Amino acid sequence: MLTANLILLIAHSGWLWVNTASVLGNTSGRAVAIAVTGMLIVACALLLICVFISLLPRILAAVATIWPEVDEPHASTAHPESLALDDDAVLAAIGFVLHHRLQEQSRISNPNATTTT
Amino acid sequence: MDILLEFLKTTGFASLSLGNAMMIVIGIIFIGLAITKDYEPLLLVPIGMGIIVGNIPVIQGMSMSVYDDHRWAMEDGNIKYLPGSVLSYVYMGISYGFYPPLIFLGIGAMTDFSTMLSNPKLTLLGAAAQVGVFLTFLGALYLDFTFQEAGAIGIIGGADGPTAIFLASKLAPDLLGAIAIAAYSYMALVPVIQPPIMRLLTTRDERLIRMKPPRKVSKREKMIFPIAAFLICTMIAPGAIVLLGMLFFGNLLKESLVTERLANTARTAFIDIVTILLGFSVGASTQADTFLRPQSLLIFALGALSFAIATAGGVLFAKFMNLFLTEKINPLVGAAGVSAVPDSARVVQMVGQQEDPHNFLLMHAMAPNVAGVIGSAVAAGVLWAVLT
Repeated sequence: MLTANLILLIAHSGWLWVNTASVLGNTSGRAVAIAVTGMLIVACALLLICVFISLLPRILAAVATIWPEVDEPHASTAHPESLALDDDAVLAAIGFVLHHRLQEQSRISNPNATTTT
Repeated sequence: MDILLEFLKTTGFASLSLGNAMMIVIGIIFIGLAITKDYEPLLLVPIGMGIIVGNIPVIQGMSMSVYDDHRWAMEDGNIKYLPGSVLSYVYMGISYGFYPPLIFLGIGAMTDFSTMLSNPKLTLLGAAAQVGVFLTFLGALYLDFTFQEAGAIGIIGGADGPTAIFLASKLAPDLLGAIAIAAYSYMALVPVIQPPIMRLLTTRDERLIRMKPPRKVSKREKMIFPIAAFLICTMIAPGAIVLLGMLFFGNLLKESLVTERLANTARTAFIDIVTILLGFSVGASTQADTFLRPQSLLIFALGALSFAIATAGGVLFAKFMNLFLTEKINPLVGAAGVSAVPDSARVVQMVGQQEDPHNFLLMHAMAPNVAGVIGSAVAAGVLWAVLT
């Protein structure tokens, strides 16, 4: 049905005129036919995109009943094991720097105190 | 003394023609506009420098121009390969038409189709603006250009430099320099050309229309869109496969979320490299003897006309749509149907805020703007298919 409608649309859009005009050597007729057909094709392409975009949320809502969309972005779950390792290393480094700084501060505030580490 | 005189004869000063001098001045003006007025500096600086480089007179017998292609020649009964100039290899990206699709890849990786997906009816404005392409095509035929040349000139109205270069390289390689310069010049002059047309065709009340904020678009919609839109467009106009294929491929890299590195490269270093090569070689192709012709002036005039009609087409179609819509569209948004991304959308925002500083039209204008990119690529595909 869709194909039949498309063929009808093309037949009425001026392509036939393009051929007829070129056979007859009618330059201005051919030019107008190309311009009109070109505009129709561009309009047709963007109209179909418009219709598709309008229908897309409904299609996805139907799909979501079978295959629900996960909110978490793919990128963050691509290699979770590497992220975990990196997090541990970063946490250890932060802990070490924090400990070091606190010790220095306590030494400055209480120069007579002895340190155990 | 004789040696010095011989040397002086080989300098650029001795063989500089008036045309070369004029083109060098044009190149300097381009660079000046980019630096002082901030008109598309990423394009005008490479093009301006290219114009200067391309118009330095070269020594007879030395292959230095973009047109000194590699070739095979018969010498002493043997076929010998003669390499072309360095610039001719850089120019191959334009003459063979592979820079424009690469630029489209980067544009796709930069483009966010969310606003278009959230308000589909704005897509139609991108189609309306393409009227400029086809009316200019008729105008160029009236001025005795051939069908192929008219098609390549008309696409300037799409306000899309890469598309104009792509189609000109296929249909009218002789006019490529003039068409490319015209297309990029008008893209740079969007803030100058569009506002008067927009104000002329709209009332103050129309310019004050506020539009509903766009809805949130899901990730699935964004991922499905590039594939579906590519299939729709190229089934209708297969001539647009190269440009739209790369545009939607770039967008898929961005939206799939699993190829962030590729998308990031495509929208940063990659597109920058191709822009430098494209801009510079377009500029270098504008040698005075091939560029300074009455035809070039006609191309510039037709390009301006095409651009103005495209802007008017978008604005008037938005007004036409308002006759049937309950939630009105600000007709200024229609001007963004020309595909100069994101400049024409910025101009819409600027003109809208001159009337109402609290009206934010940029997001809405991006929808017809990206639809315009698709529309002009489809128009190019149609013209290529019909006129080849």
